[in-house]
Amino acid sequence: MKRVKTVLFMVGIAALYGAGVTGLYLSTKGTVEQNKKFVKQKALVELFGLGDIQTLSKEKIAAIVETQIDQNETLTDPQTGEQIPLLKAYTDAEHTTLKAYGFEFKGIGFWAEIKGYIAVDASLQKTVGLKVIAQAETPGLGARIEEPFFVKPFADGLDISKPAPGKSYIYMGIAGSKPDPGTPQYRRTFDAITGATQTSLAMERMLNASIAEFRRAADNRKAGK
Amino acid sequence: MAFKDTLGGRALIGNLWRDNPVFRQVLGICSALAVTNLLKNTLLMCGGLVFTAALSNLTVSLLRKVIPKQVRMMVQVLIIAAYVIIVNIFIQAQFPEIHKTIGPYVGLIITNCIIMGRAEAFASKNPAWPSLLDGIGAGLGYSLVLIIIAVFRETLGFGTLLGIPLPGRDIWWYQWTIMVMPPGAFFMLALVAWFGNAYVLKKEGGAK
Repeated sequence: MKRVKTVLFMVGIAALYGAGVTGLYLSTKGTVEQNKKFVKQKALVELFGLGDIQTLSKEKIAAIVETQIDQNETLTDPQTGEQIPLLKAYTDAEHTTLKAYGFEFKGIGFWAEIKGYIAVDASLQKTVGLKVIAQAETPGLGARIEEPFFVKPFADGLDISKPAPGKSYIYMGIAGSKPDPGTPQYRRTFDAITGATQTSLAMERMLNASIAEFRRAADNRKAGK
Repeated sequence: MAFKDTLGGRALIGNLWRDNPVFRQVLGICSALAVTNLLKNTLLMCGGLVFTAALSNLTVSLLRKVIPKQVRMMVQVLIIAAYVIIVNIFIQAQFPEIHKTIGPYVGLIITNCIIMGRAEAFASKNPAWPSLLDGIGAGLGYSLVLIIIAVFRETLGFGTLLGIPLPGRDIWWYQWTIMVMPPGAFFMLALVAWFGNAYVLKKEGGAK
């Protein structure tokens, strides 16, 4: 009898707390989803330079993403079969001029997965933006991959034209020290973060992999396959 | 009877310093090391812990006469887990940016020994009001140590406090990378524990 009472007590209290927590989860689910959606929308507006996210309202940001970014196409990497959602950003809502393409990158950083977007110009020859949307690197060190000083070279334009066989698309350089102007790396180098070499190396690795995959998929599309 | 002489008053005040859960009882160390390189993250973590410790103590105390002895720890874990999930959902909905940083640690409040320790050692044997005060005291005692560590780590590691650059920070060398990394937390925790224990022991010695 005592055992039955104990089991009934456990079931009762588990059901009570389970119901309470589930209710709270369901009541905030919409807000959490909205938050996640807004983080992505802000990231895309910033990535393509479609407006100043500090001054734009939530509604305006959502409207820009809705009207100026086409998210309906998917590319296929012929080597791996990987599906790559393609983002096409236009300068206006009528889609008269293509501003840039964008695609997602992800990979393992020093502590956990890093996710974000890269934007490239319409000729696919240089980057026009980089935005990290998820990372758990060391605050103040690796986490600085989100800061303007790190993403600026990508916004300024790193060369991502096809490199010589065996060479990389982009390179991690030493902070404040550029390669010689005559070398192929000159226009392909971004600064590492001092004190966060492993995160910087991880970024170099995952960005090269993502750019290579995107290039293969884009060539595949161009060839009409 | 003065408040400090009541059961609840003694529990609240004692947990703040003399029986501080971190440097006297060496509980809750993991999160003390994990979230203290930025004061803002620390304050949110502390808020979550005070809330969870206070309410889990209160609930365990209210249910202490009906919880079967054989399953009391299972019930305590269930109660603590429910409150932690509530904290996690609240931060996720209201502070999404901060949740990105401290989200993984909030879940770990469940395993924080302070909460389980106070629920088992105090709340399961005492009335509701003193238990609530004991939970608040344990949470505040933990917060006190974490805030001290966070102030030093953020100041020396970043030259900021709550993200605001400190005036004249270029006069001293503020980019102490080790303070940002986990080893900096070990050093600071050891220093705070050393200072706290020495001070408490000195006071106890003087009282004899």
